[in-house]
Amino acid sequence: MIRATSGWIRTFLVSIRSRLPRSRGRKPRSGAADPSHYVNRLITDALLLNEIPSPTEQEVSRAEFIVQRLVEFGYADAGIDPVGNVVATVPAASATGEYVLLFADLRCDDYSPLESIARLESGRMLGRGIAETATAAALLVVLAEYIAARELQFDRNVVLLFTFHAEDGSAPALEDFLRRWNDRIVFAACLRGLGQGGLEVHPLGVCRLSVKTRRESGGEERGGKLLNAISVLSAIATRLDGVHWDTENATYLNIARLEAGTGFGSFASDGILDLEVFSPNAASLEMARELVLATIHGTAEQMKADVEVRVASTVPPGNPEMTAPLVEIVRAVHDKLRIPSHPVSLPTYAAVPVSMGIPAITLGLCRGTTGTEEEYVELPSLESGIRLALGFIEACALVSRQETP
Amino acid sequence: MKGEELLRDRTFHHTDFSEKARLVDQKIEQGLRISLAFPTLNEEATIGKEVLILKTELMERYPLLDEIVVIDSGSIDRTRDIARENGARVYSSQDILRSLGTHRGKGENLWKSLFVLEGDLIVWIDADISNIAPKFVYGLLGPLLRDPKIEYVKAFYERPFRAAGGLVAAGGGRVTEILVRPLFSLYYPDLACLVQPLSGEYAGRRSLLERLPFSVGYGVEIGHLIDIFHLAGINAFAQVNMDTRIHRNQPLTSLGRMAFGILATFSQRMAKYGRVGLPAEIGIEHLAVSLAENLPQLEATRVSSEERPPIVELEEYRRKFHREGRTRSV
Repeated sequence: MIRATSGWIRTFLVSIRSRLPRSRGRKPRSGAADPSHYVNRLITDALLLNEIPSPTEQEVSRAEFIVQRLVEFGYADAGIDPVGNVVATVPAASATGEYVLLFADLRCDDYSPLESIARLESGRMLGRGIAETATAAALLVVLAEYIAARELQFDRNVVLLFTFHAEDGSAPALEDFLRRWNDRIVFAACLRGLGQGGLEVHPLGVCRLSVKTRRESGGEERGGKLLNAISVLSAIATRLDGVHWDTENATYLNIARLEAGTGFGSFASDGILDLEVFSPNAASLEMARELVLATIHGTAEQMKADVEVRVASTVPPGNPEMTAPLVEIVRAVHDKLRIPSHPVSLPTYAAVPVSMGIPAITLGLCRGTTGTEEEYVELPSLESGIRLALGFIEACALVSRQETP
Repeated sequence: MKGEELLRDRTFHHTDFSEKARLVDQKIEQGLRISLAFPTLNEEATIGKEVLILKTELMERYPLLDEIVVIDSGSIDRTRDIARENGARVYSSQDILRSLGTHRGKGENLWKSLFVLEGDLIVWIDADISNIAPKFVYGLLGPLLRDPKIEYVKAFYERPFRAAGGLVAAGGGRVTEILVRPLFSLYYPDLACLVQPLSGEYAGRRSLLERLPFSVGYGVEIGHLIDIFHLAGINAFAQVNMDTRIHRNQPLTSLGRMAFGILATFSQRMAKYGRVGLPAEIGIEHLAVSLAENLPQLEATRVSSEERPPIVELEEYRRKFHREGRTRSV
């Protein structure tokens, strides 16, 4: 079913297959028609993937794991592109220039050599990074395996992309890919490990800011209080925390990190405060960003503190009109699978293709939770996660161009 | 020294065998059946993941293994249920060859597993590996499938241990480095070329394993190595680098008892092969001294030095495995 790579794909893919074991034409044992038979494969790949250290340079270790899998499944064109994305395609049944994109993020910001060795316990798969990152990427791998084993063909090409975000939360590798594929992709879906049933009705934009301050050792006493980095940053955070950003409460701020001091006996001379502003509206996002900047500088001035503010990244809000057809597709798949739908507003990387004019949506696949104490996926939700992604592909890639949803 | 040939020619990396489809081809071409067994005692935290990953990857995706079996020593947690739920065939050690009674220990489980496993190649994996991966199995099978002269394959790896602050590098292998390697250096320098002679992951041909006596306790690995060395020579060995293995770290008191059991088996082998003589009586208890409220207390622990005979000597075994047409030669 997987056809020879077309020339233009081959030109930009940096093949790493020479470093991989050569296939001798044998395929893995072909899979059953029922996606439930792929649940253990999903668990296996999520567990194995999650143990691979991240972040690394271009996530090359995780990328090689993925490429090896795709080559084993028979994806002749699977490879790593010049910026580190893993790309593989499922050619359409008949020649067409239209592609449906499914992508997942490989980077785990919370990786820990111990805590990311996930375990199975009480119907859950637990471990740091397992829920959001590894489950989504592994599900895309298993989807590729299912499509190959079942020799599924669609009316549109399907491109499977394993990308990674940058430290500041931006997504340059995804952006680079989309710049090159922009004219071919008709729909895109960002896979999320959690959030099953979520419908991204109002795709949020996000602006991420990082505030750094440094106080001279010894600090300055004011009203019996020693002013150090914690005093400054917590004052900024407190002022911002109480702000109502718009009348609909659709714009909000997340204090993502407040880090200063090293414990007893030390003066917290420097610290960092990371802030994220979310909004479904571009003007509100811009207004909120300016207000945040003004609050930071105003507070610092009052406290006679030096602060350095960096706008780490900005992702514009999605376009609800553009994504509405995809919302309806996902709603229909939810209904078919009897998954209760609920509206969600989360900043996700689906905003990146939307900002380039590509209709895109986030697919929340499974149930579980992430938190500082534990992160897990509920195992019974994995099967419906596979069916959900499969249902989305079928709905987007089987229809003809005239019936664009 | 022939051990250097082991290091040079028969020391591999697991990635040398990562083409699983080729291993499956080799298995089919040679008409072999392959079994994987886990000896367990209270391993509910890890056994489910181990069985699920290896069954999915090496039975379903690539049919390299014909069976996965758990031999349990009497766990009081959910080890047996979890293993069964994830697709392993589960036995209680005491239910195998009941007429011969039972001993508690890993070696007993391994020995009894030979009676219930069907494979021509046997892989044994400890059940406490947190970072289990298919490489632990195909890495061990690779040399056996590639070279018919290799009969026994040992895994080796970095063994960081879990500490309060995370993983501490190179903390494992203490018994190896302060007991076993010095003993091998003195008496079996070829075997000192094994990177991790006590590793709990190894594979072998049934035709060899069935001729080995098994120490039921801590001495099973060292007993194997010495017996195989005398039976088949150093050329029968290969070893495979598995990179990193993360598992529970044993407290020093446990390591003391382990060292005692290993030394007891080593001493028996020294006498058996005429390397050194033993006194008429040797100790059967590990003695430790601890302080309780500043008063020294002697703590004696009986460490089993029982041995099971080569299983091929059992008539029941020969009836089952050496029927006409199934007899194998070593």
